[in-house]
Amino acid sequence: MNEAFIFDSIRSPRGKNKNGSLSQITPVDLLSKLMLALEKKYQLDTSLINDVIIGCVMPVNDQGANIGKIAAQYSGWDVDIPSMQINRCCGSGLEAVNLAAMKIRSGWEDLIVSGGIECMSRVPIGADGGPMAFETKVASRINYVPQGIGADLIATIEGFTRQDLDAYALMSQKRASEAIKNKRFRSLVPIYDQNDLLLIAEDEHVRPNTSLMQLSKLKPAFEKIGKNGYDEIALQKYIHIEEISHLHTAGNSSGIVDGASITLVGSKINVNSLGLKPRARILSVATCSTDPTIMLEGPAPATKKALSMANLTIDDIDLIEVNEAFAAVVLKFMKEMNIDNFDKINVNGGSISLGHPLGATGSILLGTLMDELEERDLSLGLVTLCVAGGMGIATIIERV
Amino acid sequence: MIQYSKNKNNIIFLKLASQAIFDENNDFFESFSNCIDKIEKEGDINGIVLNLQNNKSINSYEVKKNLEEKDPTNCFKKVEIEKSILRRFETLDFPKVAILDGSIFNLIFELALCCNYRIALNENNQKFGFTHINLGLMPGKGGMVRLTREIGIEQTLDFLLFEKSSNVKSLLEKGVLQNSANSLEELTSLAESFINKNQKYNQPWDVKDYKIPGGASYQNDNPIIIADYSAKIFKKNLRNYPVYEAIISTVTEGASLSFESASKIESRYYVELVTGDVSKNLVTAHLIQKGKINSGYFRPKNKFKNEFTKICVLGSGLMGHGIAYVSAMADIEVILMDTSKDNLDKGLKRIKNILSFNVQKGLIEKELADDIFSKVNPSQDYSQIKDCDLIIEAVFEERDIKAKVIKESEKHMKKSAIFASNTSTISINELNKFSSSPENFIGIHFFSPVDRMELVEIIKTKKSSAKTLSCVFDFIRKINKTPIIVNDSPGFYTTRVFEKYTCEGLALLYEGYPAHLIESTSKNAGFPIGPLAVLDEINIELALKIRKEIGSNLYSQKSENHVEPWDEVLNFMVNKVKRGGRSSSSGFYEYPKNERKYLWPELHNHFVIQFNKPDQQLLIDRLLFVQALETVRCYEEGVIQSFDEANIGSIYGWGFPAFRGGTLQFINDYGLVKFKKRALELASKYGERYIPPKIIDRMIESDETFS
Repeated sequence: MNEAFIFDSIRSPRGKNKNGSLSQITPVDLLSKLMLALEKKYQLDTSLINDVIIGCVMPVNDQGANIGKIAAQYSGWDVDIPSMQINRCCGSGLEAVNLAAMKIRSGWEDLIVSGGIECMSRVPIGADGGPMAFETKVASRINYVPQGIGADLIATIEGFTRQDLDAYALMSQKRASEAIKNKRFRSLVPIYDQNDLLLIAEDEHVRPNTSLMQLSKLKPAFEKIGKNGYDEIALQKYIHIEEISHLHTAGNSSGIVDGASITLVGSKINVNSLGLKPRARILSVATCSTDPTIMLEGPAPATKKALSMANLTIDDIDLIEVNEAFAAVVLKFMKEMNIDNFDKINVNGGSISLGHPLGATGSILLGTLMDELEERDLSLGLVTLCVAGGMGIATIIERV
Repeated sequence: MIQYSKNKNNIIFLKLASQAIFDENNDFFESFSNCIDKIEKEGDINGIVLNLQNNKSINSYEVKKNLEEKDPTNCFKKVEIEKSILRRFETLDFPKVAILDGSIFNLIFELALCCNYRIALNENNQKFGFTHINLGLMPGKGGMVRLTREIGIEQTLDFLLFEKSSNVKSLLEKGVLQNSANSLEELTSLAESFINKNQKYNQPWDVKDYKIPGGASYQNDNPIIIADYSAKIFKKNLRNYPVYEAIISTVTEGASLSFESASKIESRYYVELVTGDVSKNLVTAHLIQKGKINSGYFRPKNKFKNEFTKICVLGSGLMGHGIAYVSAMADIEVILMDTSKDNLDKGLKRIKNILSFNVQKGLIEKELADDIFSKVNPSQDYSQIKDCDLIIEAVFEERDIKAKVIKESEKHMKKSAIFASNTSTISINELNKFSSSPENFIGIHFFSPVDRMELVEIIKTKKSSAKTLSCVFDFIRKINKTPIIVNDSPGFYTTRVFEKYTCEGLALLYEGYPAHLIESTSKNAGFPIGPLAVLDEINIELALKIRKEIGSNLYSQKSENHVEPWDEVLNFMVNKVKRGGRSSSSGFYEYPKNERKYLWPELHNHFVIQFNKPDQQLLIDRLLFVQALETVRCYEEGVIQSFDEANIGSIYGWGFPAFRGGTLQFINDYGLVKFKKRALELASKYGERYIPPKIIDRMIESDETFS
């Protein structure tokens, strides 16, 4: 079997929504900056790249029409490189890496640029429409509710309190600001504009001075739409629940940001011929589907699937990145996996503190995980995310 | 017939008079199509004026025709032909003006939308729109396509989903109407001046590069607006009525396509609604069966007549004041009697409140309200009833009190007068024993709130005369209510069957189902209110009393010490924890001041939850089946005498889901064989109340359905 190695994973800083620094460049430009950075870093002969796979969840307008291909051309990369854009919602960035790994393991391709992008300032959530949310007969038949309602439903079912969620959010903020202070995000690439003026060098969304008091004062974000009818739609399916407690706020849910990331995946051939140094290998990848109404329960079942494929248990894993889509998603994952402390979980913060650029996050988390495994000299890591529409995705890597 | 004329200015007038009859012998579409043929043959034409009046026959024939439609292929074909006629009219190359002379609904309103300019008579009480949506039918002749193109997605959805019909002022604001006039002459002259100004005229959507106001469904804020409407439909518990979803789909899907495609999409959803069970059940119940009952089909055939110019209502409480109010509304003079001035004042105040509410809402004029109020004359003196034609007692539900007022009244009332007892449970055969002329004695069961509930149950006994029954029937019709005639039996028809609903709710609680789940399941099944909430409203103590009244008479075969689960719960609530219901601010729910009620948190300390995630369909079946089966028993015993009255009684009496067509129609739709099988399954697990009555077997043998 061909091994799938990760040679590198780089990312842009995450820019604030709407007024942030990254809102000032186009998505193609942003992705292209990373491509050029990668090319420069390894003096890469781009004609050797077999494919470019880019995850993007709102692939319309500025991000439409196969952004990976356009960005490769815009970067002046070899004209022979094919590319595709994929969408597995919030799992897109990781799916791109997983798909690259599968291609490598099949032996049919040797070097692939994978990753993801989401410039949410320019192409906001919902920009791609879609029958799940916006076609009445579909939404009604599948009992669709927005994710925030699903997150609140998880918290209600599991009995998480507002304090639980806020305390988790606070930890995420503290860990992220520590990580930034200690320069733990080595995958981070500063982004410059067309005049080589620095646009952004560090993650913008984090709030190092947040307190539990401040978090506790935030209004529930999904109460209004819930009361508008969505609560009842969810409860028609979850009939044993009397009422949904609306506990998620802007403070304990993931942040809306702009960002991109690419991960270079390849086979052993490259180690010899290009002199690339593998940082990790991909042990297993998995996806799963869960109830689409509650939508966010995927990480645990996907993880179990990936663990069993790699013949590992959760205790074997040294560090875990579970996407902080909502605080309840992480807590629910830990409960289901019998993890009783936060020692291995999201040690450098996550999407609550740093933001969640939908299509990019999977690849970002992988880079963050690899950096930290190296920093601590540990071996096994897991990345997992919940995925809209009721799915989950997981990847297990081992340092080499 | 459509009246066709041409004036000296070469303007064609097509008049759809309100009294013109359209039916199978005189098809509207044929007649309209002939008019178009004729127009096409005319030489000089400047324009067309469509003079529309409130013709009821077109719409009711349309609905009845739909009732026959079972085959989607034929239905689609027919709809497309009818549409093409309207489209042909719409694309005639002259300016077309609709003048709306009176309220205009449904198909006639669709005709108006085919015109380039719509002018209505400026009268506030005139309404325009699509009332058939309430019968599960959406506009299906291109009306939704045109309305969307005229006023955009958001306004169209708002109008069709929630308002359904509206007055001149509001439709002018929306842009559905373009002008209004104060007289028929002005209507006509405005129409002519529009025609004179416009030699050629196409609908805006037939002009190249036309854009829908507000954009197509995925443009601007429309996706969010549409999602919001979907949630609202859910919230309003309308998902059992497929018409709402069909409206949203038709409007949103069609908005980004050509008129022709949008129109075909409309047809497809329309055909689905027309050939489906729900619209058939709604039309059958609300239109056909109710119409049959109201037309006197079940009234004894005779020539007895009584104008009921003056009646007396004994008791000015919850029911009495309402009965007095609805009678005064029907121009009947009312003596409202009670034992104290204080009680009378309270009753009068309630009547005044209803009237001023209606004035505020613009439903009646202030003068009329004053006039109605003046028809109610309070009195504490029995001698006042001597010239009344009908005496309705609505005193407290106690035999002794009722006996007393019956005897006291008979001392004063004239010999020919009818005495009616308003009761929901007390046997009329027992009460008429207190009367010296039981042939003039009858039971009437009004529902609360009387001013809003349309149904009245008339309870006859073997002793009540045909004259008494006929006259009371006519009285109920005069006050604009729908009477069903039942035979005396414990709980009559409505209380007896409705009680099964609440008892089943209590049984579920007793068995260990979560209270909130019982409540939400009932709503999902289509009931307006859950069994526990409704018991709180009725008052649990009263419910226990009714149980004793009905239960002891109906099910005497049970041994004395056998206690049914629902009785156990009721007893517990009333006697053990002393929670009587809403009126005492504590029942199955807690009623905090100024806040939403919530289920009593301790309820499940006493009725421990056993089933956390039950099969919801099982619960729905149980709630529906107990009622359907009890109705069949009433039907078998002759308590209720017709299919129509059984259905209407259930829908209008206690809110059995109208989309299911009523308690007996529910069995028809379920299929009798399947129904029997499921009933036996339920009987084996949950008790003999589910055993299907013999009549079901007989009907299955002879391959009958309820009709």
